[in-house]
Amino acid sequence: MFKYVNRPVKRVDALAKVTGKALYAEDISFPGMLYGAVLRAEHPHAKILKINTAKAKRIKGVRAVITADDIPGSKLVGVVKLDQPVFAWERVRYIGDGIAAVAAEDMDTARKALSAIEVDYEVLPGVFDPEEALKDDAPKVHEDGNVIVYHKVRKGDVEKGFKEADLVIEREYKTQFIEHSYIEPEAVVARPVDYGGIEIWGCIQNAFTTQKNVARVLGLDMAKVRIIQTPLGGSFGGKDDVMTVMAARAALLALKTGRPVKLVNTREESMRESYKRHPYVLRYKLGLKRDGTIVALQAYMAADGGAYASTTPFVTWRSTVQAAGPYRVPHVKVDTYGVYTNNPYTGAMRGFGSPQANFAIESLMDEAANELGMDPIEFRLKNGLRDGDETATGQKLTRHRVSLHEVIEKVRDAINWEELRKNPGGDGKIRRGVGIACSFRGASLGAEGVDIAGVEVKIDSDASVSIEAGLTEMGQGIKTVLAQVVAEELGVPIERVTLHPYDTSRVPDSGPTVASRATIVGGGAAQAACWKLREVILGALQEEDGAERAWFEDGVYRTEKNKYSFEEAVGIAIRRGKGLNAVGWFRTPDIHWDEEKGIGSPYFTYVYGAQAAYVEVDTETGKVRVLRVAAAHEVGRAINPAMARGQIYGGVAMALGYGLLEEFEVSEGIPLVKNFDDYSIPSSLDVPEVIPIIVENPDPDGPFGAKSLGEPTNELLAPAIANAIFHATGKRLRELPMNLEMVLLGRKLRRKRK
Amino acid sequence: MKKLTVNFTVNGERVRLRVPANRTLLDILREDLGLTGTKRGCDTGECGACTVLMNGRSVNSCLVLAGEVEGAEIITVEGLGGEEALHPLQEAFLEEDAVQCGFCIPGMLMSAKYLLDRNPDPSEEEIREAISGNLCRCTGYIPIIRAIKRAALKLKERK
Amino acid sequence: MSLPPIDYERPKCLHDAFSLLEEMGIPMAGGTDVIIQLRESYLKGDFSPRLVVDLKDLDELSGIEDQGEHILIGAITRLSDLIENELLVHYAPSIAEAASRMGSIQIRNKGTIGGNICNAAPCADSIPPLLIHDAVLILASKGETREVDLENFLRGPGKTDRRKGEILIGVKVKKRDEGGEFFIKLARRDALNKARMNFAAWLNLRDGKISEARFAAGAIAPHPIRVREVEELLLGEEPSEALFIRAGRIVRDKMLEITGRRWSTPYKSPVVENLTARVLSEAARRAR
Repeated sequence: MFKYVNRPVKRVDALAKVTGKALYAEDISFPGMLYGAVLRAEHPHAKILKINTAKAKRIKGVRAVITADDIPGSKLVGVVKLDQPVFAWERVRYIGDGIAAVAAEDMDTARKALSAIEVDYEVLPGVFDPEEALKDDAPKVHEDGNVIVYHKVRKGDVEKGFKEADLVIEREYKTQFIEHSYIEPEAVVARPVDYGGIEIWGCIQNAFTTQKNVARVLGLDMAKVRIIQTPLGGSFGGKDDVMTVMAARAALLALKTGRPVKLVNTREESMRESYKRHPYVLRYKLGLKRDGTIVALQAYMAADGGAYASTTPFVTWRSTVQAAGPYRVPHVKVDTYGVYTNNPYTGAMRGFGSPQANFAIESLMDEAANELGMDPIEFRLKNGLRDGDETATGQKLTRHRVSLHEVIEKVRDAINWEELRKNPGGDGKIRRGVGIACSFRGASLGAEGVDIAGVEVKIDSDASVSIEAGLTEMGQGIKTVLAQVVAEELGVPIERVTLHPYDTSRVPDSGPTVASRATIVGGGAAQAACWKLREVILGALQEEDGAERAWFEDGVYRTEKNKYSFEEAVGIAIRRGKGLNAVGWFRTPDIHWDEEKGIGSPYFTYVYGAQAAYVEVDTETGKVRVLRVAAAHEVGRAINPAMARGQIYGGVAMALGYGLLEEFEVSEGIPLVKNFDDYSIPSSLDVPEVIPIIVENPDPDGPFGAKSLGEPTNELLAPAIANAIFHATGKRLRELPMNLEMVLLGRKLRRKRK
Repeated sequence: MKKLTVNFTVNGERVRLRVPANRTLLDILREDLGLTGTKRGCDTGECGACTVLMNGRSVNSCLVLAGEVEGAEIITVEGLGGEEALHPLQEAFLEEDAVQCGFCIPGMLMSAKYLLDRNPDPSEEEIREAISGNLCRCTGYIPIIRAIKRAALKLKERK
Repeated sequence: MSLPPIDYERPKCLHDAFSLLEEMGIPMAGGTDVIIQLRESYLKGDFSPRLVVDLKDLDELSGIEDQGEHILIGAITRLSDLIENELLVHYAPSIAEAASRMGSIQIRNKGTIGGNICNAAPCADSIPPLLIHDAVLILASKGETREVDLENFLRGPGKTDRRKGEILIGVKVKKRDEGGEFFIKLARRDALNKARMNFAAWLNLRDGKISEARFAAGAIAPHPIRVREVEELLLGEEPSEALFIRAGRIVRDKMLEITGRRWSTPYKSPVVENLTARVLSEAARRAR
């Protein structure tokens, strides 16, 4: 039995948040601080002929006006590819590009200075659709062509598979731009420090990525760039590249003026500049036997990467390797393109390439079941992966329990599937229906890159414990998870465990907090650190007692002679001159992906999820109301079941927005959305009852058996709703969002630029 | 632009300030008074992160001009309760795991207080309605709704 | 802070208010639109100073008063004060209902009925219900007070017949002792959302036939409109689905006639028909 792990321990960071004491980035100020503002592009694609900052510089109270010319180091930043300018020079590629920045004594002056900067443009033809951008004669967004990345999967012989099939169906699906909609807009404060470097406070999701890029821009050693992460007021993958650019600008201004500089985006600036979730076009071809067996699957995807690569290479890779869903398919062919356009750029967002692919594959599975006259669940259970099966990329699932059937069955029962399929309720104009979607999802980074994390645990002489971790708390609860793991593994009361802010100068680089990996790699690293400390403490006890053997059991330190509490044991270790800090490292098991051949084992383990939606459709207005959702997620082990349920509620709500409400509309590169008045995220009146079901099949490789949860919760509801709408109305919707127009007309209406 | 002198109370304390008239109550709280618990999310009354009570009513402080504050009684999250003496709402938010990133929470708490001040025994529907002007992107609202229900019970028990 | 330079005045009497408005002052009731508009123009680079005249201390503009056949709603009555007002709930429930569906609680705690009228958004939720109550506006300026039918006051998006220096004092609505009324708001989301369309209808029945009718709709034209063609169609008829479907077609045609085809027409056309029929049949049901 565990004392802290697998229990609904209260969040360690919540007290400061309910009392208003938590200091978010915009809450931080320093004496002598200046206010910065950024001038952004006026066209989605244009040559910059001239930038004149002379007038702006003359305005009283303006302390610096900078452009790309003021950058001492690299003018470009990027997570994968260095292609995004801190300030555009020569050319702007999207409407959010920064051209210049100002630092002034107050915000009003900074804004006035911005409007005094003159920029001459020569407008260039732009390209605003990924498939247009793939054509030879399309305008080039970057010199080296519009293809950011190409990925494939090849297994078996798909042509042979289609020949063997009794039935082949081909469908096209489309998804939209959406905005992360973290409630806290981006903010940083940069200040020059006396070691010849810069300190940056900000709501930066991946501080080490930012540190590396800012150092490059400033031409400084990484060691001279210190990033201190403030609590993130939401991120969902969204406070990465955009924060790097903002941090770099603030740092440049601070070094130029020798004073602290605060940069804060208004909501309008945030929406204009920040990256979005990728819109996809997905074309699927599915070969089936009459009895419902899937024999072949072919998929083509084009993802709109917008103006910069950002994480597009990785996002599209996940879509590619998960394109066939959690099904046994002998013949598979997938081709995916990530493409530059002059639209807002796209990058990481909770789900990371899976919400798009899942909308397609899970709609398609329903369409297939319908063609065959099968129940959608029966069809899924028939084709779904089981223990020992091979995935669409040729990976044999042998090291963990394949939990697909379990989550589907749990959801089926919770939503009352059999009954609702037969008698969904509703009357003439108001129809009701129920639908399901399921998925498997590779945990952590997979073959994207080195998957390693380090956590330092330090015991002070009063037996209090501190944790230094480079893993980001953005609401998901990693701080609490780490405190639970450490309290469990050291036998220290959790009240005596403190987590310090994520500060790049003090914590080991643990890679980005993405891919729902923090609990696995952070938990694993914290565990490893605790194990090291335990060895040291037990060694001291052995010496103290002259014992043969010392061990840790049920939170107590033991020798064959004595029992010690954590505090007593620590007292002895300190008296005996033992160093009580340790860094633990965790590395995920090795995997192999052959990008050339398009086959391999992309992830070391997978999680399984299923969600069912019971919906009501007003056939006279197209308004859809989700009445109830059941969501079952296999997580390995839930370190904190309360927080795990919280992830389900939040992920479901966000996915409801993706399915029904949200689109960041862009017309010819110009966003039509400026603020939350025309971008509707779900409110408390839109979110239905949610039945959360946590399925625990501990994984041999995760800490305490834990795997992932944050993203899987957000990748299923849109297709479940589409399938429920089909059940309710007989209308198949293949494009998101399923808003009023889409549901009523079955097609999208596009508003035009005013 | 003339400056204004405004007299009002914040969390029971009297305040006298001289400020430019184009400041909003949100600016005054955050920048002039250092009460950064009240959050800025959209500046247009769409997100509810800056919700405070003004003369007992919930308002978006981003949509209150400095001059309007004259004579008003303002309550912010800092006035709800500190660490030593948490308000039942704050306790309930902790107990129900209603906080994730936390950015919407100060505003959410003030909307919840406004509800419970008028309606000590709200139904789930009434709670949903009461916080429908406060956007949250993390929690799906469900734990928040539960927390408000729990707080209502706590308040009843204390009476 | 992102507002232009402001001089703020809060006059204590109408006379002072008139003088301030003559100096190019911007009248502000609740401010939930005015402040947003000021900010928008500032963010577009208009840093010119403004004079904001806050009307909130003008007692003449506040309160809800029973005037026999009419109810007078003061212009600066906050939307949240309309929702549970007994007079309105009894004699003009669609106005109370519309108020409860506007913005958010925070917005309704500050926003006013007069502000909603003068802001004249095509989708303003308060206006269709006011129109079916034959609303008359009372406008005052230095030396003159006049009454204008709300229907004639609205001119287009953000445009009204309010003259320079004029203040909206209140809006007079006709009590409905008989019949039934209903309000429908269609929005993408149920909270914090502009209406995609809104409808209000009041029907009175005599001997099973429609003896009086009012119908108004918002967001289908540059300003909310009363559709007299529908009212004429209904008079003397027995309420029936077929009748209300015909009414829906009239509203649709009216919309097309006024706005022509737009990006949203393929959606709005059928929905205007459907919701017209729905609001009328619910009003008829309530009239019985």
